[in-house]
Formats: sequence, C-alpha cells, structure tokens
Amino acid sequence: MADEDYERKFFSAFDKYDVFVPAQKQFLELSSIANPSAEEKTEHNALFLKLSQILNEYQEQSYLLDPHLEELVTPVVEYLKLHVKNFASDLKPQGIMWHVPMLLYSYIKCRGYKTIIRYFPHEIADLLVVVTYMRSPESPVHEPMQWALRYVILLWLSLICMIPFDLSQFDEGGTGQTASSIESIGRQHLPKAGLEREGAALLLTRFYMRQDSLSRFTQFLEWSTVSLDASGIDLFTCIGILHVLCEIAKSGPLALVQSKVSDLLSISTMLEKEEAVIGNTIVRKLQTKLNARIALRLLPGKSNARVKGPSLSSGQNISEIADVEDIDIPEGVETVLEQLFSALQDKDTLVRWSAAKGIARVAERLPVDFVDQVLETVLGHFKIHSVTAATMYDVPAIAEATWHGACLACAEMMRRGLVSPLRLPELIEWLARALYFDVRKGAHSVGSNVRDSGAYVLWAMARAHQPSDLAQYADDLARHLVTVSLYDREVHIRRAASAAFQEFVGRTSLFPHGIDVLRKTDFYAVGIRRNAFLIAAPEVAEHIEYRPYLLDHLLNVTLRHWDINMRRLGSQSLRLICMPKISELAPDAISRCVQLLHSPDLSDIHGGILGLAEIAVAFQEKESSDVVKTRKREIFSYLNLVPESVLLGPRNEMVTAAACEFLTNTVTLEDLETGEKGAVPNWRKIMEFGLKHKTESVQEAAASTIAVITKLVDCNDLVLRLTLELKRGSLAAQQCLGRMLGVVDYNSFPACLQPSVKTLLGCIDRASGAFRSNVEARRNCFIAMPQILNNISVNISRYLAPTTVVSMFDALLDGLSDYTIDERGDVGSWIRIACIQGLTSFIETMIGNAANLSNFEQYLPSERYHEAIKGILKQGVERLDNVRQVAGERLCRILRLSPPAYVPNSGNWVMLESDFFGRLFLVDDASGWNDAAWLFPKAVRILEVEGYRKSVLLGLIASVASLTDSTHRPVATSLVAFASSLPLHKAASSRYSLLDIVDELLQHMRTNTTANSVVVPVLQVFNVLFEGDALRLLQDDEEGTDRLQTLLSTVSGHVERIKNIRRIQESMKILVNLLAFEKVYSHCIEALPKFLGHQYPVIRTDTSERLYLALQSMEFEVNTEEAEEVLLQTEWSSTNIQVATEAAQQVANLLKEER
Amino acid sequence: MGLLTVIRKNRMKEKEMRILFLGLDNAGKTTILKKLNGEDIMTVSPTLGFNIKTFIHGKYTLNIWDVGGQRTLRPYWRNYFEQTDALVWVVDSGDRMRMRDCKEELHNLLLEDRLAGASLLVFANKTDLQGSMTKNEIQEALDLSSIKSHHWRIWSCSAVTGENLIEGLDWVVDDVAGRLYYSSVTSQAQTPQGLPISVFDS
Repeated sequence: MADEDYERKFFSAFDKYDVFVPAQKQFLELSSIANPSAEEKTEHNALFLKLSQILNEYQEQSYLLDPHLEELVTPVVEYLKLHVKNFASDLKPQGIMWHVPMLLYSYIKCRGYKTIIRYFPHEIADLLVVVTYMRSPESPVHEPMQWALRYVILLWLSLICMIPFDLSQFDEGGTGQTASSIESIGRQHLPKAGLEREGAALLLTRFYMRQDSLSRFTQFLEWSTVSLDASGIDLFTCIGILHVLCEIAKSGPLALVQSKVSDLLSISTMLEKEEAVIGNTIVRKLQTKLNARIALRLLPGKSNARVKGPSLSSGQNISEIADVEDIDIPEGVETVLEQLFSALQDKDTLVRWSAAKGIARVAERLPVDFVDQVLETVLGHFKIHSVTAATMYDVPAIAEATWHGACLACAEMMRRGLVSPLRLPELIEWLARALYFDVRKGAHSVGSNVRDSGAYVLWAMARAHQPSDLAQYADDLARHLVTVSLYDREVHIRRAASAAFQEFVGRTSLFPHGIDVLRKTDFYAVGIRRNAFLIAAPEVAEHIEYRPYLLDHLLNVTLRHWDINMRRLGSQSLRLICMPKISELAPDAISRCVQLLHSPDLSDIHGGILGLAEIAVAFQEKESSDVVKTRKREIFSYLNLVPESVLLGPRNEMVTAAACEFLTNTVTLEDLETGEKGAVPNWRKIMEFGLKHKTESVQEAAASTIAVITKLVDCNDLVLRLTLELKRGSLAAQQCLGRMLGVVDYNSFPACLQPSVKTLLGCIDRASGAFRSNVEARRNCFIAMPQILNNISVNISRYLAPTTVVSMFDALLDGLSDYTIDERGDVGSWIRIACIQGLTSFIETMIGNAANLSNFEQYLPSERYHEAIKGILKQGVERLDNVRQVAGERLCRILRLSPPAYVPNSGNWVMLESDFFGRLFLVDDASGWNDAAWLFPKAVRILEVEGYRKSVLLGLIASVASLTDSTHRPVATSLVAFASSLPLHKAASSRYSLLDIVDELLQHMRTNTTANSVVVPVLQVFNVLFEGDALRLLQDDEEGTDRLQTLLSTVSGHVERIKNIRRIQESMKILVNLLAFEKVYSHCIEALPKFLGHQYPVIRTDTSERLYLALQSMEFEVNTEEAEEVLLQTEWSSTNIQVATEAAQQVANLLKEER
Repeated sequence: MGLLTVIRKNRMKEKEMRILFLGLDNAGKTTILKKLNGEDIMTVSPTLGFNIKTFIHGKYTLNIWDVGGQRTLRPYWRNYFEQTDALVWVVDSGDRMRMRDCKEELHNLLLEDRLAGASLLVFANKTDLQGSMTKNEIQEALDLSSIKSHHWRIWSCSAVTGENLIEGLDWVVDDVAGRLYYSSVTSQAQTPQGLPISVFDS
C-alpha cells in the first residue's frame, strides 16, 4: 500500500479546477429540475461520478483543494439549504436526489468534516427549519438510501446548535421543547450502524457541551451507564455512546469533564463485562481513546514541551520546560495508564496505535520522573515474552502484538522528546532485536509490523536527540539499519530502514561512510529484493565497517529463512560479498554453513548446502586452479554430513536439488576417481536419484551435475547405462533423458555421441518411439538436439557425419507437425515451440561455424534451410499466441543473420526477399507476433513471396478455421482486405493475383479431397472471402468463371455421400454465396435440391434459412417471392423426407431464370 | 500504518515543511543556515554531504536540507521518502564566471518531477561584497522570468550581515503555507461569521 502511495502521481495544485467547477454547476442545475427525463437522469448520474472521481484523485492531497473550497462547497450547501427551507415552509414531500448529499459526503470524505462544515450556514433561523426537516414524517431523510443526507444534516445541526443563545428562546410549546427535539434527533440516530451514528455523536457532543444542556449530559451519562450495564446491549449503541463520551472528554469544558471522571472511568471498566462488547475492535479503540483523554484532562498542560529545534527568527531554542514542580498526579491517571499499557498488547493494530499515542500524550504532561517510569513500563513489555525465550526463534507468535505496541509507544514518546538519553542503551538493545523480529507461524511468519515500528523508533530518534547523545551508538545503529534495508524480506521494511538511515546521516553525520552507503541503499536501490541482495549489498560490503555484520545476518538469518527464495538470494549475496576477499572470508563462512548442515530443520540444511555451493563458485572465479581444487574438495566432503535419508527423502526435493547444485559446483576429478571410497561415497547415488526425480527443478540440477562430470572423466558407460534406465523408467524419469543427453560434454569424451543421437532420434518418433505417449519427454529430446550441436559446434565435422546432422534437422522439421492433443489441450504446441527454437538454433550454429565445415552444403542443404523457414512461418501465423510469438522472435533472429562465411553461393542461405521481410517485421513499432491485430495484416502480405507462399497460406487456413475468436477475426479481416487488393490477373505491378490465391486454395483442397481436416478449413476460407466480397472480380472473365465453376462442382459433388456435418454446411454456404454470381447462377440452382432436400434434417433447415436470408438481401433478376414463400411454408425438419425433396425441387424450379 | 505512512501523515499534522537549500558549491548555503541559527559563521568548511536541520518558524516546523553543491551529492537533492515543499537556491553574486553553470543547474533541477510545485526562493548572496552583481542582473542571468512552473522570488542577501535572510524565508514559508496549510493561513484572517473557531480545530 505504502509503495503505491509513494509512486503515485504527485499534484502541486488543484489542476482539475477548470473541469470541476463547470461540471458542478451543470450538476446542480440538473439537480433542480423537478421531473427529469431519463437522459437528464443519466447525465446527472454521469456528472456525479465525474465529480466524485476527481475528488478521489485528490484524496491523498486534499489540502490542495483548500483555496477553492469556499467557492466549491458553498453552492452545494446553498442548494441543500434551499431544499430544506422549501420543505419546512409547505411541509410537503419534496424529492431530493440522492446525488446532492452524496456529493457533500464526497467532499467530507476527501477533506474531512471539520473543514467542510465551516461552509455550512448557521443562522439562527436555520435551527427550527432543520429540526423540522429531520422530524417531519414526510421528510426524505427517512428514505433508507438517503444515509448521506441524514449524515450531512446531522453534521449541519451539530454546527447550528452551537448558537450562543438559550435554546428555550426557540420554544414554541413547553419549555425545553427545542432542546428535547435536538436531543431526541441525536439519540434516534446514535444506535445506527451507518455513518449517521457519527453525525449523531457529533451532534450530541456539541449539544451536551452547551451551557444550558449540562444537566441533560448528566442524564445521558446515567442512561449510558444503565444501558451499558444491562446485558445484551446493542453494539452500535455502545459505539455511539463511546463516541460521544470521547468527543466530550476531548473538547468538553474542563470542569464538566473533571466532575465526571469517576463516571467516565466506571463506564470504561463496565465495557469489559460483556465479551461481545469488549471483543469488538472499535469498542476497544474508543475505550482506549476515552481513557487517554480522561487522563489528559486531569493533568496540567504539556510540561515537557519538546525541543523541536531552534526558532529561526531568534536562533534560540524554544524550550519552555517549566520548572517541574512536584505536582500531584491525580488518582485515575494511574488506572488509565494501566489500561493503556495493556491495550498496547491488544491483538488489533488499531487499538495498539491508539494506546501508543495515548501513552505518549499523557507522558507529555507528566513530570520527568514519571515519564521515565512510563518508559520503563513500556520497555518492560519487551521482556514479557522474552524471559523464557533463548533466541528470537523461540519467541511465541503472540509476542508480535506486544513488541509492536511497545515499539509504537517508544516511537511516539521518542518523537515528543520524552526519552531520556540515559534510557537509550536499553532501548537500543531491544530495538536491535525488534528490527529482525520474524516469528515463524506455520508456512509463513509474523512480525513485519514490529520491524517497521522498530525503524520508526530509530527514525524518530534521529530527529529527537542531539548527535552528541547518539554518538556512542551510531556504529551499531548504522549496521542494523543497513542490514535491514538490504536484507529484509519486505520492500516497505527495507525502505523504512533506509528512511531511518537517511534521517540519521542527514541529522547526525555519525554513520560510517553515511553518504556513500546511503547512495547504495536509497529508496530505489532497495526497492527490488534481488537488487538489494545482489547489487546493493555487495557494494555496501566493500566497507569493512559493515561487511562482517552483513555476513553475520546472511549466515544466521537469511540462509535459515523460512522463504526458500530468501535462502537462494541470500546464498548468492553471500558469494558476491565473499568474492573480493575470498581467502580471508571463506573459512569462517564455510564453517558456519557447515554448522547449518547439522540442524534438524530442513530449511537450515538447504540454506547451508546452498551457501557452500555458492562459496565454491566464488573460489572458482577468484582463485588459481590449485587452490580451487583443494577448496572444492574440502567443501565437497561436507556433503557427507547430511544424512542420506534427508538428501534423498521424499518431499525433500528442494534439498535434493540443492545437493545436486552443490555437486555441480564442487565436484573434482580427484573425488570422481576415488569414487565410493571418497569423502562422499554416495554422491553418484544422489545424482542418479536426482535424474530420476519427479520434479523438474531437481532433474535440471542433476543434469547440470552430469554436464560437469562428463567434462572431467570418461562417462561413456555411465551415460549408456543411464540412457537405458531413463528410457525405460517412469514417465517422469523419461523426461530427464533429453535433459541429460543435451548437456553431456561430448567434446571431452565423444564415444557416446553417436549412440546418444541415435537414442534421441529413436525416442521422438511419435508413432513408434519409446516416448510416443510422453509429450514432455519428447519435447526434451527435441530440446537436446540443438544443445548437442551447439556443444560440439567447433568439432561438428569431426564427430558427426552430414547425414546425421541432416537427420536431426529433419526430425525437428517433422516435430513442427506435432499437433498432439490430450486432456491438457494442445500439448503438441510444446513440441512445436521446441522445434521452432531448435531449428533456429541449428541454423545459427551451422552458419556460425560454416568456416570450419568444408562441406557446409551437405550439413545444411539450402533447401532444408528454406524448409525450416517455411515451417517457422507457418507456425508464425497459426492459432496459438505463444507459438506465434516464439516463431516471430526466431524468424527475426534468422533474418538478422549474415550469410555463411567461406561458402560458395552463400546467398542460398539467406531468407528469400529478406529486405521485404525486414521492412515488414524489423520495424520500430514491432509489437509481438502474439498480438493478432498487429501481426495478421502484415502476415497476409507474405503471400506475395512465392517461395514461402504455400506454407503461410496453410497456416492462415488453419487460423481461419480455428475456433479462437481472437485469432479468427483478425485473420479473416486481413485476408479479405488482402484478397480485395489483388488484381484478377498477375500484372507487372503485382506479384500475386486473385486467381493465384483461388488456384492455390483449390489445389490444396484437391490434395486430399477425402480428408475433412483439409477440405473444411479451405471451404471456410472461401466463405470468409465470399462474405467479405473479395471474390467479386472472378466473374469478370472466362478464367475466373471457370474457377467458380470448379468450386461449385467441388462443393456440390457427392453431397449425399459426405458424413461430416461441418463439411456439408460449409459446402452449402459456398453454394448459397455463389448464387450472387450470375454466370454460375443456374448451375447453383440445379445443385440446390441436394442440400435443401438433404437426408439430414439439420442440413435442410440450415439451407432453407441461409437461402431465405440470401434471397432477401441479394438482388436477383428473377422474382423470388414465391420461392421465399415456399421456403417459409415448408417444414424442413420434418421426418417426412418426401415432402422436403418435393419442396426443394419446387424452390429450385421457382428460382430458375426461364420458367 | 507503517513508517512510510507515518512520515507522510505527520508532516501535515505537525505543520512541517521540507526545504532544500541548493546551489553551486561555495555559494554560502551552510553559512546562511549558520547565521540563521545564530552560530559562528567563521568556521564554515565545504559541506561534504548533507545536513538536516530543524527550525521552528512561526507555527511551522522547517526541516531544512542543506546539501553540498558538489556534483556527486546531487542524488540527495531528491528524497523519495518525503515531498520537497520549497527550494532555496543560493547564488554567489560575485561569481560572474559560473553564472551560466548556475543557470543551467537551476533550470535542470526544476524539471525534476519530485520538485513539481515547490516554491523557489533565490538568494543572491554576498551582495555586500564590492563588485557583485545586482539582484536584477542575476535575475536576468538566471533567466528567472522564464520559470512558469514554480512560484519564485529573488532576494538579495548577505549571510555575513544577515540582511534579508529572515525576510526571504518568510516569503517562502508563506508561499508554501498558502499551498499546504491554506486553512490555517486564512483562518486567522477570517473566521466564518463570528463563531469561535477553536471548536473546529479542537
């Protein structure tokens, strides 16, 4: 929440004034219309929303409205006043729209009632008018939805009833009648659940504070006591009463409050009686508030006026510390303080805040000695839960409330300059623990508010104390604040600590390298956790004053944190901090990580393993190879400290994965050779366990271990054995085969390369391969192939024959046609994505290493290259956004490649018309290919490129046929627009023609006329083009007509033998669409009965509907009325097929041109 | 309500203002503050960092940030935890050589969005020295009249004699108060129709 506030737009003035004022004027004009029309009501509503929206924008900076408030609020109030007056004069029901009081409420919500109420009128005459308005049974205030009206009027009345005249002067009937009316209005609304209660409470407060109503207050108090004492009191009544008492205690006459202290206090105690009452947070908050206010009224004014700073004008400190005489502390104050101290531990933040402020305010009025006692008691709160707890970890979770309350009270006292320098050592000791307060509670932890309030105390400390008082603690405080600002889990706490740090640096200049460190840990630097851990922390650690403390925190807290991400980032931060001084810092860090391995807590073990693994990396990067070897062997040996049952335990996947990472980072040749006799006899078991693990992240970690050990020793046998085991293993284990084979280091030990490639090629066969029913495993095999090629890139010609490389390439090409579907959906798309990426990677690797390959064209024949591009282009225009996105990205990469070096005819390995593609896709506004609306208008233009036309057309056909509306619609519109722009015949100016596109569609359909999956999409494309009127040109000449004729015969042939409903429907649509072409009209009519009299009733009905619509909308030379009549009269779905066929023939006859 | 919220809310409640003292190095920022604070001004050395000082001025609490003029300290001109309410730009009136620098720095600074709406007071310092530029010359040289985004005012002053220091700050504090604490500025002048205003403030 806080973050948003701070990154929110900041205003410097009420800029919307010019919009707001006219809008409000119009709003009020509309409000005055007696019987508004529907449009006026809508507009009225819209204006209200607009106005309240603008006010909402200024909610956080409402003070900017102040200069305009009078001008803004007065007309609204005047409107209300007029309404109330009119009502009072004829006492007839007069509607008031709900919006006007709501607008006033919006103002009040934005700026607060104290400010807004100033603009309400308070003439003497208003009193009776308003009272009448509230009391009349006809008044709109009684409508349930008019809560804002009631609230506003109650507030208004609370203002008016402050008139300095005796209320009895207004009495018309008996004495005290006016006063009774006002009181009863207030009483009536006091038990309300809504906002009216607050209005009523304010009204009663003002009323009881009147000189002439004091006796009524006594009665109210008695009534309150009785009501609260009775069992089963209504909660809202109770809250209302407390609200009134709180207000009176705050601003009532001193004598009045002091005379009622015992009553008030007994009411406060009475609340505790009923569980339902005291269990309510608001009640407890008001109780706390009431108590604090009573105490404030019992004490003299602030005696410990805090020393904020010197006065600018005089240069003198304003320190009016009056001589603290021995004043008697009134009894009651102590009782109050006791309640406040216990409220400090309340389970609700709201109550704790109220108590903390109350304590500080009371303390401000106490003599110094007493202040110190108050502070001592507050500090005592820290001890409550710590007595038995040896470490922070043992503190119970409920301590959170106590610590938070204590911190808040300290901060509030600190801010007011009430903490004596002598108390600082003890306080700082507690704060040093509060800043790290984090108590585990199930799967999460509590305590972030304690840490935050700890930072608050320190922030206040920097403001309240002289640098000389703070000097001796500065180093400690600096370290704590820096540690929290870098390593807290929550962003707002890191920022809070950073703010406190800044305050100290600016006000005391005591912090070591303050300026420098602050630059590294400012508001933005600590905003992102990763940044704080991995960039800011290592920078701060350059200062020796901070480094040991950061390391301490990492090793004691962060590596043991309950959040796995904290442990991960913590271990990386540890590496980065150790790196510059690795030989000096590592030994201690290592031994402390090792300590963690002994812990019973899995998180600790995990953190320890990660820490050690990262330190090994630091050695690797910083030290000479001898040292690295010794160090790695040392670290490696520590893994043995963790019991195998833990490393390989069920549901311990994070530890297993960390152990595999650990092995990857620490394993050495020597340890590999000693094998089972070495320091960690079971390392191989761990790795193999990881490979076969069901969790992806563990498999990946284990695969990385394989990658490292195959670099070091010949693992031919191991790889072959594992290959077999994984291939025959569980579904999860199978997934790891590709992962493993992709990362084995074939350069060092190429013997297993051939078998691996062979295995992969065998496994991916989706008809008969080992993984035919395991999509993920197949995908991983596809991913492995380009990895292998990339690994051996410089040695391709040494290890792999051209045919092998080509067969891998072909396998990837084939993978593009994997459209496997299971209950998870289009899972084949994972494979297609892997193949798009794989093909691109292949091409990049091959072209990048072209110089090393004497027979480049055999390794990557140019026609294979173009096949790949065709395949990727096809994927790039298909249905799934994510597939398109990957295809688009990869295509752009290929587009940017230079042709292979030192290869004859290198131009053959460049995309056809690459300039055209470049202009189309490598543009500045490049949105993603996943954005269909951006892509398809461009994609249809690829049809102009003859070499790639076919595949793109296939892709587009598939997209048109897709049920995904977000794809279908942009494709259809783009295709229609493109086709409409084409000339009928190819001309000099154009590379493509309408005839070409029609021919290609027809030809594609002809490739497999029996396959519905081929034919139906093409028919859909034709229908899209017909409906977009893109084929009109075809009837202009012989050739075009010929195509129409062909299409007609295709759709009308063998209709009765087709079983697929979709296909018949699409055919029928084409037939109806073709009616619009004169030259084939008569043939269409002939074919019509085949559909209209079709054996399937649904086809007959569909045809009749569609035909009827066509006849209605198109223009024909023949008169179609009779035919339409028959279409309407016939019951096409009737089971009597005889009727249908006859009617069909009749329609056809009626539509024939010459009858 | 965390610390970041407390910082923001208290500022309004306690009638605090955050004022940045900026300007090229050796303009006299720290000296002015020391003079205002009644301290000895003979011992000022370049500010290597920033100092936050709190002053009471009338009913307002001023948190004054005195930030060194060196380029490396510029990042502290921004403060993301608090809003800046006013900017006091101190100019060494005798430093004709760097007046162009001074103008550019000032105009760049005013583009900062965290300073949007802040009032700008330009102190033409050291005018008691012989040969210094006049207030009008500096106004010209800094192209102040082109500034539309901020309320601004230029005062010639002397940190040594104390001339105009209070007057200048008075202006800037009033200007900020008019924006932030409008109601408290006006409520003294006019209370609505004779009612005791204290009941509203209580």
